[in-house]
Amino acid sequence: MVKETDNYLVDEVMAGHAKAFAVLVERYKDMVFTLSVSLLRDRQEAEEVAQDTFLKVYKALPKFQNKSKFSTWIYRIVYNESISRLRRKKTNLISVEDLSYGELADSFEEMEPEWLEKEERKRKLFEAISLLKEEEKTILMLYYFENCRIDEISDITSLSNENVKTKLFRTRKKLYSILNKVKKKELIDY
Amino acid sequence: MKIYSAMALHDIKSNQELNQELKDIFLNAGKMKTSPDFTQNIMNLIEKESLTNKIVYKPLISTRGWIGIALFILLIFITAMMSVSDSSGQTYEIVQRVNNIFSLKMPLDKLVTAFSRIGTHLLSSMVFISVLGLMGLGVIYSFIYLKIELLRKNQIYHS
Repeated sequence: MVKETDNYLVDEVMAGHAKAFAVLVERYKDMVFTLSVSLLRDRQEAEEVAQDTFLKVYKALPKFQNKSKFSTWIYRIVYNESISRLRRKKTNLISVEDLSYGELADSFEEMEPEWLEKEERKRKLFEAISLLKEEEKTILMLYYFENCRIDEISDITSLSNENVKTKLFRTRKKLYSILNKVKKKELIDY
Repeated sequence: MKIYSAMALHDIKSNQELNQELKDIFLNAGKMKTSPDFTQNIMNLIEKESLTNKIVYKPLISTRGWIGIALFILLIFITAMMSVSDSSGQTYEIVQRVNNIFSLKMPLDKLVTAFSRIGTHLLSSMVFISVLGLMGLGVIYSFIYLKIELLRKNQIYHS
């Protein structure tokens, strides 16, 4: 089966075929939700944000002029929506630099040592990601999950290309370090 | 104590290796999943939204309005008819004149005279010209507005 392009589906929706929008939702729902949940750290709220994002996108489709990719556009909307919710909530986010190794290890103490289990791996990855700053999380996920280019990430996060590159470089090491420490600790415990 | 040391880590792994390893980790972990009915919920909301946003055609001039306009035009017509004099200068009775309007026996020349009088009367009436102008503007405005609105809605919502 030939996969329809985003632009084709957008045109279909604009022509009055609302069902084409369901294909777009199916295509992007996981990434939109993943971005939102990692920023908000609340599944229910993240799903609300994801839902609002798609509704916003649907209403704003006539304004979408194919200047950027549809994916870039939708990720920018969910990113901004999540960040503004976060600001409203004034959640006291903990930065990884603020945590000592002891505190970090404690946060993973409840984990079982089945590192190879997929769901466990996912959980651990997202727990490690949750210790990063919002911009760092977004950059990493767009880069690794969606293979977004630097300029696309820059467009979504409103950061300069250079800034994205630098942050990606640093955050990559930071995340790897967190994961490595958790893994080592579990192996010892095991 | 900081939980990581960028410099030390850099010594152990090159950036490229690290990149590849993280790629694998992300690929293996996969994205978060929404609830199973997520897409359906959104489509239901869209359906609901499109229903509440359907265009309800409301005529610019209501039936009462049209009756009023018809009466107004009739009044002008009758007034004009009343002002039509016969050749001897006598004024016709209103009843007679109205009868003549609806009578097939009415002579053609009288009818022409009556209509020309109406035209003159209407054109010389500033109130009527203003009303006519306003009505024309209203019709043009509502036509353009509805056209734009329909185009916009057609683009967004399915019929």
